Amino acid sequence: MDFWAWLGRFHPALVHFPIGIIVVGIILYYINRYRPEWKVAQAISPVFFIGFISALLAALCGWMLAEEGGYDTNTLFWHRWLGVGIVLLSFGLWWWHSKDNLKPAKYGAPLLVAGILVTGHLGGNLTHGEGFLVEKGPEFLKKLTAYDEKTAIPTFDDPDSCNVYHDLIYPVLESKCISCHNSKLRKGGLDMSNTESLMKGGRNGEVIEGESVSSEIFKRVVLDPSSRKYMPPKGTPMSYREIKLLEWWIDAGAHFDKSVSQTETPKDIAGILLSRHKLDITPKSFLEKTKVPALEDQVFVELEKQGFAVQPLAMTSPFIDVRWKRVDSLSLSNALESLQSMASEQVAWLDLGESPLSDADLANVAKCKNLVRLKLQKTPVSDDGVKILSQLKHLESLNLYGTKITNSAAEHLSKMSSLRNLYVWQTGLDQENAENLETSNPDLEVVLGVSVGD
Amino acid sequence: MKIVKDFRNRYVKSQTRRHFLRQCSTGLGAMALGSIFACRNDKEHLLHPTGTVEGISHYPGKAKRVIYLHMAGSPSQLELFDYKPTLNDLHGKPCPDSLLEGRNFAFISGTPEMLGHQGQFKQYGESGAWVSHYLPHFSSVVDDVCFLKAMHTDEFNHAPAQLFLYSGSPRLGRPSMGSWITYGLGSEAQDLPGFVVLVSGGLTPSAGKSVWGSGFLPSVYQGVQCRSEGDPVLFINNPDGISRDIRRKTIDAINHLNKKEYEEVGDPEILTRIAQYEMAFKMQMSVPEVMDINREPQYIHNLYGTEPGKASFANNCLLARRLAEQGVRFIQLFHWGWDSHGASKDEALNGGFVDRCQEVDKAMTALLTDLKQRGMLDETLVVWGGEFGRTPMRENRLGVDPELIGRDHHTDAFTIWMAGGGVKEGMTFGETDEIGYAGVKDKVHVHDLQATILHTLGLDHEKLTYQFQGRDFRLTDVHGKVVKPIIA
Repeated sequence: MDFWAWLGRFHPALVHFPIGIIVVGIILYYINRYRPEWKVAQAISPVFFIGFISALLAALCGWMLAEEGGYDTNTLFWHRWLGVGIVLLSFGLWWWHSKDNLKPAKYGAPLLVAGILVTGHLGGNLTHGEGFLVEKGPEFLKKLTAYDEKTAIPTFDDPDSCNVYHDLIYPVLESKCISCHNSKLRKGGLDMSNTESLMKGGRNGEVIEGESVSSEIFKRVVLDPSSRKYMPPKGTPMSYREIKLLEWWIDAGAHFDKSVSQTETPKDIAGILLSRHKLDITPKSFLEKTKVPALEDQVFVELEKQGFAVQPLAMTSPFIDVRWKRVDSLSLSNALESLQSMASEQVAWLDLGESPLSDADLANVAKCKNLVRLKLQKTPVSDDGVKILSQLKHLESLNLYGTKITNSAAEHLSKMSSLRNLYVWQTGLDQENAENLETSNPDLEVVLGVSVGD
Repeated sequence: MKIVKDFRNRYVKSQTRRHFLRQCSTGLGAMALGSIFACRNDKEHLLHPTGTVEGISHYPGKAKRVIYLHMAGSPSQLELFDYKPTLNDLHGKPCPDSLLEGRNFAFISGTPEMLGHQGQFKQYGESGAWVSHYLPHFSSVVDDVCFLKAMHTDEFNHAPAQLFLYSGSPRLGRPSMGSWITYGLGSEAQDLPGFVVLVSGGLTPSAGKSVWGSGFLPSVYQGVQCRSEGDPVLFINNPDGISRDIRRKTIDAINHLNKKEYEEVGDPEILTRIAQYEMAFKMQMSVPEVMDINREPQYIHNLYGTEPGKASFANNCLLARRLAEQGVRFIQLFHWGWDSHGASKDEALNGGFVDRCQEVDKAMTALLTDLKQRGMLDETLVVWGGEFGRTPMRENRLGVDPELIGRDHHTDAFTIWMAGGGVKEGMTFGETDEIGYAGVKDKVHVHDLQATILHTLGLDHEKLTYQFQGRDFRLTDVHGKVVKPIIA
């Protein structure tokens, strides 16, 4: 047990009482000054006395807490000595009041209120972080306080394009280390401002050597904060999550050019990335990753008129599921022309099954570049049609059952590397070609179906 | 000023709860009518093109529809899928008291004997799933299937357990799963109901038609039972001497009267009634066509083992595929006769059980194969299972033929399988203890199954709600967790 440190932990519990009681004392002082007939004069002195004693206790605990370290040194300096000032001033107010000398309070009372406001605010910044009060505030307040948006933690939405070092680690080093370890100051001979000098290390050799536990840069930030070698020696220390990210980066090989998706990410780091940087690294399908503008309501109405049934894939998704309703009086060619011109990016699923689709119509289908599922079963699509479709780079499921394709289609189908499911029941594509397709694309399953002749 | 205040007070007092409810229900009814037909001609509906109530956030679902093959009476998982060699070793030994203490079984009393497997088990496919010799066809498609082996439920009698499985509550009155799903997603079928029920095996399930009822949801969402024997829907044909034109005029006249009544009283059930008349009129044309399996080629009949004109499970499987092709959202099959207590020849593991296996094996395998070759299995979730499991102990009912072998109802462990839309292929999830008495790993409760089925369709079971009697209800009540590991 460390008695003094334990005592220090009572600071947050005790500190709010003197704030309240001293303010009550000051209110009583002003009431007495302007409404003496309310007869509160007797109460002022004891209230200030209680304020002084409780402020003294809170300040003592605060002093012990500060000894533990781990606080922004600059803010801590002002918080500490303003706190001491409040203790002294509250003692003074009580002393003069008990001697019936009311004059000093004329200046002391407003001074004390101002002191409490400033000290309390600094205390808040110490526990919650700099900029806590303005972070969510109006813009003018941010400008007024020179709140720097850049020091706010950046957010990312794509693990492919988020570089581990430049986007996640460097900003931490910049805010915590580089004010001393830069090309001019080079404290300890170490310059962390560029990647080469960082790897070169400082006067005592490399700071990143193998695993995190053997690297000086990591060892220094996880030392006991009261240690002489603890980094950073002043300013805000590294947070737990910053240290975890640093550890993750070093253990992954301290690389500079890999993205988050190229780096192995344990569960706890995934959690930190999500909560700190809003970066979700769970694998996403093509449609979840791709962003396209949502369609206007008018487009739905128009496409319905042309003979399609149109549904969004989900309430929150801009992509649509389109089905030809097989209304004989409407022209499929015209409808596909409209579909391509109005929603070429948004069509993700398209069902044209059992329609009189011609190979020429497929040119319009192939322009819907984000197609993932395409159903052309029982249509007159031929090998030439499949050639046109092979432009579709994201197609995962293609239904060609009951079409006129033959073995010649295999050549075009083999180019569709994103394909996962291919349905060729009742077509001219034979088992040998189907197996070849599966061999060249291991993710592909070609469904031949049962033999019709049985 | 006082006059204004007084007037306001009077106005507030005159607005009763009834006014409020009426205003609510009109809106809901209109939405219900719109979504069941998926007719989208007004802009308002376009805001919710899937027919769901505003505010439900979906994710893109892999499955578009569900075919639920329910084995009413509950087949024994210990004779079909859940292979436990230790149980064979313990065959004939008395059941230890620790398994019986404080437990209620439907029929077991005293100390029963343990009962070894009646089937011979083997592993099949690349996934190495265990299947017994009772299902020779099915064993060839196990790589398309995901088994849930540690299912458990709360109810040990058929009717409450079936209600629990389909409505989330063992008591009557809640909407069934198919109703919730058609309420949530609407229907793609223009001329057919969104929720169709097919029954085989001679009897309706113990819980009656409530397992496809719509509860407090508008009754447009209730399941419509179609028969594979005789007229598919009773009284669907016009009576002699009534032409389709006359029928149309009759319905128009009735609907006109109903609309007037609705404008006066605002009861949403009137809108349902109007919708049902319209649907019935369309179904007079569409149902005979879709239900006529004579149109299928011979190789399909060979595949399923169908015999047109019979109320068989095989016919119903083929019909399920035909209905799925037409865009029906939820197709519910019930096959009766799996309650193998050993109380009679037909209710014994060495009697009716073997017949039931033969009845379903070929047909359910054919359904999976056929959906797959048509490219429909990816977007159709097929679920197979009973309402609970059966005990590893032999049922010891007095006074029946000692040759008959049976097992009692069991809530702690049973196996179901799922295939297709959004579920991993060739997977076995969950494990029971060495005698198959209870789940020990990856247990899945009935509410979890419901949540998972909704998830594959892109519905969030916590957001698919309906307000009734002052609170929001949902299929999973206040329970349920999506079984994420089996989601593809």
